[in-house]
This record gives sequence, C-alpha cells and structure tokens, in this order.
Amino acid sequence: MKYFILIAAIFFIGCAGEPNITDGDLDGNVLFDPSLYSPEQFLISKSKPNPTDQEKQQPVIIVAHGYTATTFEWNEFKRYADSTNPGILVSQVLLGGHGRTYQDFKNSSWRDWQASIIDEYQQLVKAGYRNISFAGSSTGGPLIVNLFAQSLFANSIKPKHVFLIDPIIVPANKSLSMIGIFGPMLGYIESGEMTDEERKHWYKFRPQETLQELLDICTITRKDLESGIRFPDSTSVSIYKSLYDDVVDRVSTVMLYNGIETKTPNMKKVSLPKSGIHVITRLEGRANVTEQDRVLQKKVFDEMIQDLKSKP
Amino acid sequence: MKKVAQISLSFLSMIILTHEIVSDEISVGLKFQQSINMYNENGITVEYAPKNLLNDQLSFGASYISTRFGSAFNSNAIIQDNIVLHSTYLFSSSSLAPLIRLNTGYCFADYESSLFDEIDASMPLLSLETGARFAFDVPLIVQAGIGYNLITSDGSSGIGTVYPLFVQCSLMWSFSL
Repeated sequence: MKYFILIAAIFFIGCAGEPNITDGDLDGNVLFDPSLYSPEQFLISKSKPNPTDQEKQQPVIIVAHGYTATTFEWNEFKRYADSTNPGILVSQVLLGGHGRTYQDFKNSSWRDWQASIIDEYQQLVKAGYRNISFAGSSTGGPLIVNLFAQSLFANSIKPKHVFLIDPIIVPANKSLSMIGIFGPMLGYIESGEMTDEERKHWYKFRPQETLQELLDICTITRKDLESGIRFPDSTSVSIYKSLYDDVVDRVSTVMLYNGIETKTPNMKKVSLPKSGIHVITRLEGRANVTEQDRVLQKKVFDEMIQDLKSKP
Repeated sequence: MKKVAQISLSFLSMIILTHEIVSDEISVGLKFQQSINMYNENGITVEYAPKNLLNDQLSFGASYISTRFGSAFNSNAIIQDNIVLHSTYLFSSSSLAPLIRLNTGYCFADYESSLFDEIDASMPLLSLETGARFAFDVPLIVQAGIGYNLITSDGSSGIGTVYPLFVQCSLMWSFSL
C-alpha cells in the first residue's frame, strides 16, 4: 500500500527540482571526504608504495564502503586493526563519485564507483603486495563480487579472503525496482533521519540516476550469481547479514551463498546475527548503539582479523 | 498451507454451486510471468467461466507458477512456487476485451540450506491486475496483463523476491462443459 501512496505522491508533485543542500551536508561544496586531501592516510598504495619483502607478505585488506557513504564507514575497523594487529594493513578506498558533491555523485556510474577498488588493487599488485583481501559493506559487496564475475583476478594475484557485510543484491524497499519508471519524475530521494555526524559522511540526497545505477549493479550481480560465480581456489568468502536490517533484504545472503562457488564448501561462511543495524561493522555516528551492538561489532572484527591472519 | 486449503475449498464450492445452475466454459493453458527486475516464473493456469454470469464476463481461475520452470531452471536462482486463485472481470463480450483481475494465494520458497531457516519461506500473495483478453475463432484465448503485488517483503519478513510489478501472458485452450 505504501507504494501506491508513493506513486500517487509522485504524480501530484510532478517533476522534482534540485535538492536544498546546506553547508552542513556532504552533498554541498564545503565538506569532502578527507581521503581526497590526504590519500596516504587511507590508501596503502600511497602510504607504503615501496614495501619491503616482509611487508609484501603482510595481509592487506581493501575495504569498500556502501552507496552514498565514504571512507568513514570503515574507520572503526582500521582503528581496531591498527591497535590490536599492527601486522594487518587496511586500505580504505573512496568509491568514485562519493565524498564529493551532489553533482559529482549524480554524474557517476556504478563502474566509476568500482574503479577506485580496481585501481587500489592494481596499485598494490604493482607495488609487490601478495597477500590481498577485500571487504565490502552494503553496495561495496556487489561491487567486489562483480570483480570475480568479470575475471579480474584470472591472471593476477588471487585474493585471499572476501568479507561481505550486509551486502545488497535485493533491497529491503522494493520500490527501487520501479526507479526506472518513477525516477525521472522524482529527480532525487532524500535520506531518512541522519545524525549530524552522518550528514558529514553520507550524501543526504540520492539522485535518481544513481539509484538506477544501484539497481543496475544489483541486477547484474544477481544474474551473475544465478549463473554461478567461481572464486579462485585460494579465495574464501564470509558473509555477515543482520537479520532485521531495513536496507538490505535477507534473500541477498541466500543468493550470494548459493551463487558463489568456492573450491571447498567450508571456504564459504555465512552469519546472520539478530541485529537491526545495517552495516554492523559501523557504529560511530549512529543515534542509538547498544552494548550488544558493540559486542557484535568486535566479534565480526575479531573473526575478520583471524581469517586474515590464517593464511600466509 | 491451511489458509490456502481453506481458500481452495471455498473456491471449489463456488464453482460446483455455480455449475449446477448453468452450462459453462473452462480454459486450460500455460502462464508466463515476469516480475519487473526480478524472476521469471512460468506454469499452468485454469479458468472457469460460468455461463450467463454477468453476461459471461466474470470468471474464476487458479494458477501454479514457479521459478522451477523459469529463472531457477538450471540456475542458482531461488526456487519459489506460487499458488494463486483469481477472479477476472471482462469489460466486454467481444473477442478483444479489456479485463481486471484480483489474484490471491501463497508463495513458498526453498532456500536449499538449513543455514537460512530463520528467513521466512512463505508469504501470502495479493495482487491487482489489468490487461486484455483476445479470443481467436478457434478456441484459443490469449490474455496479457500488468499486475501489482500489494504485499511485498520489507526485508525482514516475507520472501524478498516477491516484487511489486509484474507482467504476465497466458495462452489457453477453452472447452465447453
């Protein structure tokens, strides 16, 4: 019924204009993601471009955030890894079109978003790193899984681990499936309630063009999964999905689990914690965080680090 | 399943009751359905049109469509079976007639692993549909329509692959009873 109301509202409102962006929003021309100014603080290819032989064998994990987010989404994991396991190198990529302005975002495609992940991987390989893993939250998930579908690693260094945190294949809100019909009338969609901290690190306004891109990468990945995506023999995958997350539908996990083919079944793990948080690894900036959320976050971080350290 | 059985029983009683009064037409055929940006589900459909009921313009039917015969055939798509009962009203008695339809039923999914036991594997279906029917000179009927599912998953309950918009086409052979 809510879709009918949405559709009726669209017809009455007609074509939407430009959003009302303030200086307190990431979407404006004042706030930018810090990785644009100081990439060496976020990317291992920039901070350690000439690794020693020992560093080349260290686990490096490329972490990719979700739709509208920024490098902020993985800050807590980086801090945790740095403080507890200095041997693990965390490389935080900023997806193309993100962390900049509304117009930059509007003009970007999912391939632009993904290009940052590919670029960092290729820079690390070029620098000599041999133990590379990936982690993607929300839209970061399909962007990473798509790299396997397009055989990016066929003649290159094979990733060791892939961690997918609340990866999206099917959105919780099914009206996204109709964005191609109603998007042009909407123009953009405003995010729900955000904290002041979140407004600095997430776009508040979602141009309909980018929602169509989001739908495209989800659909492409779903179809690739239906055909089966073969991971390299040395690559394992762990999927974490909150059961009561209101952004990503739970069937996304089923599709990923059934569609990814690993060398052995035990190289594929799935965890469905009873949480309502979307992207359970990011708690900073949220309005309400419980002790249970913190325990869960630490558990996921510890498991990720354990997996990263488990192979040479 | 209990709900489906109750609905089926009421539906059957209605058909039997109506059949005692008039002579009727029954159509049997194939149904092809595509959810917009989701799965393709195909199967069988049967429709019963009691003679002289609202000028032959009201019919009742049942369909079974599944991804087994669509997206999940030889692929990793989620297996889901839909059992749907429908009432159709034709706006005209001519060979080409616009129609509206109310569908109700149940969807059952098979996630193929006990890992996903906590995810809902069934949900009720309720949808409205509009389209057209064309009856050829031979007893062949083609129906096509666009529908809207009034019940979809919110991500935390129901089956996430039941999407709002769908299009369907049915090819049916009709028999007089």
